[in-house]
Amino acid sequence: MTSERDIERLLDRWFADRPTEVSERVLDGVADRIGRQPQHPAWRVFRRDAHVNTYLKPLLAIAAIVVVVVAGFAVLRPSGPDVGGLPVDASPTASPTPAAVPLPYGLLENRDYVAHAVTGDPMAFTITGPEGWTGFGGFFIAGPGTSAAPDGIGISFNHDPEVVTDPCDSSAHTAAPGAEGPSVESLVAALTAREDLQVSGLTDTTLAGYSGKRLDLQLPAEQPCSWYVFAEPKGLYANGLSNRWRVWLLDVDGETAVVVLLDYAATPAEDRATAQAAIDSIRITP
Amino acid sequence: MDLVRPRSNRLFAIALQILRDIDRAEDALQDALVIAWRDLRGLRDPDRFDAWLRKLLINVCIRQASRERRRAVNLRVLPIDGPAAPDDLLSIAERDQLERGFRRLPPDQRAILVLHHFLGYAPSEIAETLGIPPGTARSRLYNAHRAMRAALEADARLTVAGGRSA
Repeated sequence: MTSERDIERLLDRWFADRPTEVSERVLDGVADRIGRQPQHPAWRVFRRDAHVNTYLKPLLAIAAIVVVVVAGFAVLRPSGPDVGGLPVDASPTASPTPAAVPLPYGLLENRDYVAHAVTGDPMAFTITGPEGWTGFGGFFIAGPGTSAAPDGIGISFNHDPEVVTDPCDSSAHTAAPGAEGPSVESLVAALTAREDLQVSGLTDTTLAGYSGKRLDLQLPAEQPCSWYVFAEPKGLYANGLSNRWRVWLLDVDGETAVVVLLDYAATPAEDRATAQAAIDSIRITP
Repeated sequence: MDLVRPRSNRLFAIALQILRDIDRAEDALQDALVIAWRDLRGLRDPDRFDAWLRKLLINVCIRQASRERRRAVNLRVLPIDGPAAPDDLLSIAERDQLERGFRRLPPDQRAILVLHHFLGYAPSEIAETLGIPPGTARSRLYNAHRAMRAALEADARLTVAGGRSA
């Protein structure tokens, strides 16, 4: 039996600090991604508040240089490959709607993205934007102020998830080995059975042309034993204390598609409206 | 990047310790820095910049690790650097066992252990970084140690039985 002290000593030695160097390519990638944000809302605030925060000035200068360099690069190489620069020609010419692209890690534009519950999952969720929000892991959109408490917001996509049944053990969940996938009814029942989750507003719903149930979950206001609601590998957990989830559970040709809008009581109404508009844009491909 | 560059190696090390994969750690660091640039307006106290940036990075890492835990078997193994001093020597077998045990932990517990054992944070500092009460940080750290111990013991049993897969 390994004692508590043994574990601590082992971990201290294992985590012993050794030099780790990040590749310049990573920082160059950050500069490139920042440079691709042509109308970043923070710019206006930066200008107004720059005297308040001494850290803003150098970062603002850096970002400005990045934008100028990227824009200049785009101008000098108008016929070259896509360098991710700012639009060279601002004239209002009509352009075709860009095709949907995989949901990236990073900031989103006002275009269609395709999300999946996990990498390689066949069910595809196509959603428009929202611009300025942030994609994570191919299954989650957060923002604009992250999905953390006290006022964040996020949207998650899932396919045949398993509900964690023991609030203190995220490895205990509804699906048994070899069992069939969940139904809308079984997911509702499993969520309702969790005593640490307050379920309300259960109602019939339709989203993306598929019918099912919608319900609201109030997650714990105090430190939970475990944060998980859906089990890994399609896991989803509370993004903060008093997280609220509006959950759409849809029957998609006998399988379940689950969309979760995560927010808090203090989440700005504007962000909620943006999220709802994005959810209304969802298309599901089984 | 002058503001970020001096901090980048340390931030990358934190991401690497939590995610245990170079590519994913690089992705997480990039995401965190882009979000930091975007959300700097929300930072009212410049003195909190480092803690704020670390918290942001850790949240990104937890999300990423949470989603891709089961893919760990396909991921690149961290390079093993030379030990800092002879006293710090851990055997290859111990490192291997710790690696497997750590990967079994939920992402939030991994983050707690990295904050405490890698960054040397006391529970009060962990609480401040994660925005949770100090008592909660202590109990979460205790639970993380307990989970790590259970993971190591489970691993040891499998090793004895010869039943562990790659």
